[in-house]
Amino acid sequence: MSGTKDVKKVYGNTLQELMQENKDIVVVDIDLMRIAGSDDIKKIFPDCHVNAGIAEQNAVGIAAGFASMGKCAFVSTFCGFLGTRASDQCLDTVCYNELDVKLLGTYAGVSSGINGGTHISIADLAAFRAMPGMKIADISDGTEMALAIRAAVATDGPVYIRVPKGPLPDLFEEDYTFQWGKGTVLTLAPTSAAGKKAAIITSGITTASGKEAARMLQEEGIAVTHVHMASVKPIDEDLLHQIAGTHDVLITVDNHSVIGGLGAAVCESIAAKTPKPVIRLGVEDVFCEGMTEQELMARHGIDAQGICKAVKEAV
Amino acid sequence: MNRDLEQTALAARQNLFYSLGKLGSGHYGACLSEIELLTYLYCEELRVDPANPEKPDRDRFVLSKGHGGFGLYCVMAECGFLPRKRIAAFENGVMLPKHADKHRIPGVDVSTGSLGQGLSVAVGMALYAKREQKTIRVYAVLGDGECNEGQIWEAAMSASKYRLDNLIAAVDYNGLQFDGDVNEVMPLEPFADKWEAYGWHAIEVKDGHDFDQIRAAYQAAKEIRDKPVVIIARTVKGKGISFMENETTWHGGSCTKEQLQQGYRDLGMEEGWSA
Repeated sequence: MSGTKDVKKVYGNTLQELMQENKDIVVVDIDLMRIAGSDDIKKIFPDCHVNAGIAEQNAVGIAAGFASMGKCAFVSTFCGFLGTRASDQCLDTVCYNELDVKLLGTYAGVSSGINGGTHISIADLAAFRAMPGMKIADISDGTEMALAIRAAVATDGPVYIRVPKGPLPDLFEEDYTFQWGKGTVLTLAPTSAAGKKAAIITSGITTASGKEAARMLQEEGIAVTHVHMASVKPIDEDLLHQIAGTHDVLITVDNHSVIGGLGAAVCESIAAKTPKPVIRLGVEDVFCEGMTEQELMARHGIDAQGICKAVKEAV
Repeated sequence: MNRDLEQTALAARQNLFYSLGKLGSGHYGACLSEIELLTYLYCEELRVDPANPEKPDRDRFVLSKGHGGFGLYCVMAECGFLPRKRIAAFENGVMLPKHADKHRIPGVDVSTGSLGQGLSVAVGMALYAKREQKTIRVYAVLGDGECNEGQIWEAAMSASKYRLDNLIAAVDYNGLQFDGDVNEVMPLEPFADKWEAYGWHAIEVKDGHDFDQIRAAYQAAKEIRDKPVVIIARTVKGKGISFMENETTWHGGSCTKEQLQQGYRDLGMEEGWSA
């Protein structure tokens, strides 16, 4: 559990395994094969591979064309170029037509780091969450990524898998399972804990921050609950209502704008039935600057220290 | 042969004018200009079966200019894909979408509407057919104004890269888009040269309402190897309705009672005509 995984290898290897058995998978690249990890797919399965060049909109359309003929089409590029550049194609062509297109976004949010504000995706979750029929997985480690890719193939219709740049530290054991619409309680604060009770809700790279924050807080005698919510859509409504019902404050942590991301999804979910105060950590409606991933996480308060600070202020 | 096609086109046009009048508004101009292209495709060209509209190895058709949806529905109705009366009907309070919709009409292969996207889907379909060694051909109809969209040219590049000689796109070149003359809003010319420069074989049709010319273009297109083909068909926006022909303002709109009566006269429809 102390290792890391290269997300490129996870994508390439998982697809290879799937494509050995499933002849209906095609892979569409957008001139970023070596970043996605699909370069071997082109060599091994040339008849199931398309490179659309630097043309995201056309790439999504071509994938839709394959899907309309019964194929399961994967498309990958940077998160922002799928979620916002090709947003209309994902909405009107893929989702409206209910096509089996799997969108894999790389370099999620601040993991794009020094590439700067034009490359740091802060609006992709907002766009994809609003698309009817779209399922979204915001993955945190290599094991979960492989499971999410398999879960994408196993479900009909559009899927968006949001992948950080990596390499990603291993967070989950081999027996971890990923399920659409299911969150995972990583730490549960004891019901006997004194004072106000806080629950941290994370996904993607913020789950590692959340785990570390929970550990640090524990050392200081502050018991918190930590929920990992990889399936951002559909979100685990039952678990959220349960957590909201048994905690005083929820702290969501987005590697995304606070508008439209995980925090927004949590608020929308609990507002009607189990309203509780929600503190949304994330990128505060600004563009990110060119800094390292760690520096950006600190600046936007989504690293372990930022989460600890927010919890202490809330309880 | 052409007489049947002409009668089918007239019947489709009559039902279109009747239905849009009954529904209150619609994309008259864009639907009327495409009728002969679609009539030829559905009556003579496409290997499709209205009794089995989802047959796997059928040819595929993509109306990339999705706003011509009612023109497509009306031609498909004449070919037996749906009852003529459905065009103007409401089902549970819902009319047919003005933009081509596969969810409502079996036989519509892909829903379209946001311009520029259909040709990419057609490229994916055609590449599938090539890779799977199917004899499926993929046909698309584009609007001329739609070719302002950059995605059309992305799709054009990819179609020639993959030598998609099973893909035939036609441009319904009626010369008008929403804000005016196509070549004033955003000049397309030299249009055929542009397609050729992108690696396509271009065939120009002087009268996109003449079935002999349309047929000749498609027959020639099928002889081309290793390249996708574009048929640039000069058409008349609002074709068949005297006060709509070549009028930008009739991209869409609503008719007055007098205009409805004039349109009925133009199309030889009796008062009280019904699908």
